[in-house]
Amino acid sequence: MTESEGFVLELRDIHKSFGDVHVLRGIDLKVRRGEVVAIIGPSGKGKSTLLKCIDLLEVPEQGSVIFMGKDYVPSARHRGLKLRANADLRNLRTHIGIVFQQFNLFPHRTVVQNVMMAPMLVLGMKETEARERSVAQLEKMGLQDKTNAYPSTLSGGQQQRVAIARALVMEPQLMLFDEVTSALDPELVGEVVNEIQRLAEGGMTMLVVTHHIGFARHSGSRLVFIDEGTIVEEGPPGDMLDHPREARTREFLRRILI
Amino acid sequence: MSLRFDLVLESAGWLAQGLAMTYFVALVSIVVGLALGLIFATARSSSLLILRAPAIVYINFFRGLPLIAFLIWLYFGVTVAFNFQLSALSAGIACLSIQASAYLAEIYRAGLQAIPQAQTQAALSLGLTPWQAFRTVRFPQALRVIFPAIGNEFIGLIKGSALVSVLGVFELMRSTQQRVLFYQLPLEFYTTAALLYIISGIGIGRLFLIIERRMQT
Repeated sequence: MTESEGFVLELRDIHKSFGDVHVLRGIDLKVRRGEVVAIIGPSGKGKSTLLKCIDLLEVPEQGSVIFMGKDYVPSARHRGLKLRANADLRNLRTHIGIVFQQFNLFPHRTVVQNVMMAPMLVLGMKETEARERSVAQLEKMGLQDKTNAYPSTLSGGQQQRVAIARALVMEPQLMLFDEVTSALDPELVGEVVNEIQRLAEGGMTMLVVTHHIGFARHSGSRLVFIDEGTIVEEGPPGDMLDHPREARTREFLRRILI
Repeated sequence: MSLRFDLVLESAGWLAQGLAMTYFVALVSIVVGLALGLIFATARSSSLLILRAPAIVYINFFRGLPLIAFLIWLYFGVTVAFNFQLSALSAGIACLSIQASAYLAEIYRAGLQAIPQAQTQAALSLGLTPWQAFRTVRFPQALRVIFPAIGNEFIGLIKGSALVSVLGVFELMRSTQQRVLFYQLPLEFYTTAALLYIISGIGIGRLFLIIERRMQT
């Protein structure tokens, strides 16, 4: 895999509809290695769908998802004998980590089993090796006491950190965060944001859909405002938050900063 | 009227043989039914009409067919018409398994539908194949959801196996009938058989409850 002109990810004219609802209406976005792109915008206007389209959990009707120089949309659209196409999609998803708003941990597996699953099933690691690597990842995130607990016994913040560990253990090239603090109690937001901030400082390339303007301002290398399925405005976070050019951006920021 | 349960007690070995056969028939049927049921549940949920349509026909046909009619049709009708050998036991197990699989297919479907799509998406997002996601994430969770229903189905099979006696299989009902004819004590023997069925049902219910609790931890 090669990066095309230094871009890890390039989205070209992404369109996605659900029935009559045209959720994404032509998204173009390029992400360089090490960039932290913060995505803001009103709820239900396509931000989560965009992240799912990047991982091809949702397949865009139109456009390209070019990751490390390869367009994966044709594989996702492939009909008929799917083996080759499925292998392509697995390759994409193995290199992209995604963390969801609702954690989506596997409730029937312990914390460490949640993290070990992909290293064993996808990378073909032996159980001892996968466990070692998973425990090390959990330790980095301060979850060493929780390895054998079931997700339901953890706080929301802890569950979300396990979900981050589960994605990171695969050593992804790109991380996608989908409003990962929105389902948390206010006092638990900090521990999760800190974790993401640490990753950003470590040079991880990431797209972060967030309502956390503080995070966008301080950790984002770029801010993107999405409304009605299109990118309305993008730029350096500081400039854009203080001097938004577009009326819609101003309106949105005014509403959420009250 | 004096009740002669002492004679029932003397026949304990005889009845135990029948009871053992009842358990055997039900056990084989639930295992085969679970395997077949999963196949039909998967086909039933397929996006391909060529898989879905036959599954729907199969499920509705065997769910609607009375077991006694199925047994007699297969054992006295089909085998004679097509001139092939099938033991009474095989025919009985075949009918029970097939009918159980039709019920279980719908039970599986309900269980699988209860697992949020987000679980499968999370598994796929890690790079798992659709089959791995099904096998390690969706199916095990669905199995917990439907476990009590499987217990019910198993108790249903214990009871259903009584009908297999009409083919001459020596299970609890048949062995009881023979003792009734021998001793002319219908009340004592039929009461005993009824109690054995009820106790079996309670026992299986408890066993499933214990396993269910283990699975929850």
